Amino acid sequence: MAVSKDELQQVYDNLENSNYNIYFICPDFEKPSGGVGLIYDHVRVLNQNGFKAFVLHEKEGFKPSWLEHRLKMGDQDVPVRYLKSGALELSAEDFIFIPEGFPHVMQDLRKQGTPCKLVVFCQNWYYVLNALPPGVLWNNLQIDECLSVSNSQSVYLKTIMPFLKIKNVVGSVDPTIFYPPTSIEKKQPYVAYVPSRDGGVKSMNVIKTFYALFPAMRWIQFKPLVDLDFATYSETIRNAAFYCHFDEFSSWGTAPIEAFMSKTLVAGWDGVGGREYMKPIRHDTTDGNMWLAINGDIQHLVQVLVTMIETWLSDSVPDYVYTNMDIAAQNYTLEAEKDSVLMAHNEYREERMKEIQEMINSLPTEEKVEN
Amino acid sequence: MKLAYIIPIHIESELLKTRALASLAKQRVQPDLVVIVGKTGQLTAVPENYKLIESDETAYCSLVNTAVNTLNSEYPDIDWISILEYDDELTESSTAVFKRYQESDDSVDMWAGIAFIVGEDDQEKDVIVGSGNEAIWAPGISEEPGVFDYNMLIRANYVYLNGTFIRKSTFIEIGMLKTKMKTFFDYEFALRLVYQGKICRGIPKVTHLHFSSFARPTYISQIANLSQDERTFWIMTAKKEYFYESDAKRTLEYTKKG
Repeated sequence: MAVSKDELQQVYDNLENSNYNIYFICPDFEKPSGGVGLIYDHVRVLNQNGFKAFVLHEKEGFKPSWLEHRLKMGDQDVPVRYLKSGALELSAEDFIFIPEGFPHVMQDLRKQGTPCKLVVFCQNWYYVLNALPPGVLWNNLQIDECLSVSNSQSVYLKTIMPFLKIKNVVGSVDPTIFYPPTSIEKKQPYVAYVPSRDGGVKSMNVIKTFYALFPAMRWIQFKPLVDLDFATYSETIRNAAFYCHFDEFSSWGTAPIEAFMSKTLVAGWDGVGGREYMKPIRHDTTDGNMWLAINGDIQHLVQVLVTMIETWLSDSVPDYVYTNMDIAAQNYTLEAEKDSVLMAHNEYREERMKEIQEMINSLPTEEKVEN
Repeated sequence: MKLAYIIPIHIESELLKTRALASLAKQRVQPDLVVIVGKTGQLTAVPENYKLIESDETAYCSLVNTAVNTLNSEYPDIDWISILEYDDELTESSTAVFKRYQESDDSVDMWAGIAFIVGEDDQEKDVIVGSGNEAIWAPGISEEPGVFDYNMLIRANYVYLNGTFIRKSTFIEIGMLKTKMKTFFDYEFALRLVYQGKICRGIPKVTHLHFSSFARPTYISQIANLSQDERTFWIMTAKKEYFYESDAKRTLEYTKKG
């Protein structure tokens, strides 16, 4: 679609005056999803800081009610629009952020000649290639920009797609929800966990292996963090002495940080993305913050889990472990998330303005350019 | 808050020095007093905060009660007791952990740390073969995790008294240990505590190592050698006895039927 110099100038002016919309395509998940929550958080932060951002669901009226208070922005709701309503009008100054697992949407938007900037919002590296046919990468869909939620993940993305221009944002964990008990003596000897992504099959395998190899510990209970409201979820982590992380394919891993902030000891897999902040506890160092197992290795995870439990039962956890947990968690404050989100979107705006200006400058008056 | 460990010993044994006393010396926080009651003649030199009470008594309950009576008359400032068998060990953090938990909640009358049972014989040597006082943390045992209540004691009729920390005044108030209970006296004592409304909580830390052997006479081998009928007799007796506030003046004996 060809646009004139005047039209481009209008786009530029709208960008300069912050008169544009940012849309985050968001799946209609009926069950809790960390990724959906993060989209709502970003939209909230942007709207609270001068941007116009919207969550874009598919079905008219869909609301992930399990998000509870995260649906709100002060007294108002986080703004939402719906694809199916057909009322969405997109302009060249707008941005659409598309989840990494939705290449069909990327393709559809390109086919429709969408004028706005398309950026992949990558929350989990594992789903990137899962969703693409062999030999197809994002540049085949005319997308070369990505907003990534962790440095570890960005390293992976840059390796498989060197053409990508990546901006990083950090996630956050709310300290008013995740905090330690009033007295550390209130910790109870059970293991809280989020089931593995395969419907919990692998995490249950680890648990069964644990009981098979260590029958003297059969009194240690594993409590799954499923189907819980926020208050019960956070309380379960808070009262637990232990958290076991079963995510092999993780962008950064919110739950271990939630555990750190609750002063709950962590054993588990780093899922690649967790390498961002997970440091193994070792005899020869004092910078460790968790008991780390080889990613995906069931028996190794059982061994480190037992080591963690025995260390705690014998009251031998070094103080530096708790200190290092606090240090890691400090990178994921609400303030850090807000700063990173605003920085990224301010940069997107400036870069788009520069791009439009270059297009304007390349044209003599009255000529049009293909958008 | 002052703690005394009571070590009842009815025989001459090197294990007193190599296990119980050695583990006391390694405590991160030292107890205020150690009372060794029974065959104390085998000891030559002991630290200043040790009290030796020589006695020809051989029964565990009688020895412990004797020690507590002495504490009550001669050491009024001792307000907590814990029993350590001569052939067992405390973990290094035992005293420190107890003091921390007691300071976090002064309403509790008995704290029960977890005991790891360590094998002594053949293939079980130095292997953790079981636990004591851990059941209160398992799901479906207590109404509230970590609490000794009546439901828990009905479901799990085994309480590991060694390694618990008991308020001395409570121990005396409810009538001390029943000398007439030949076995399961610890279970009976716990039932009596709970029945009389005393607060009993678990410490989710290992405070005690009990060495289990069937090759030499230990409490566990004693119970293992009971017939099922005899075991049932003592458990049922424990359940009846706990109604009594003081030691009832009657003989308790198991007689084989038919």
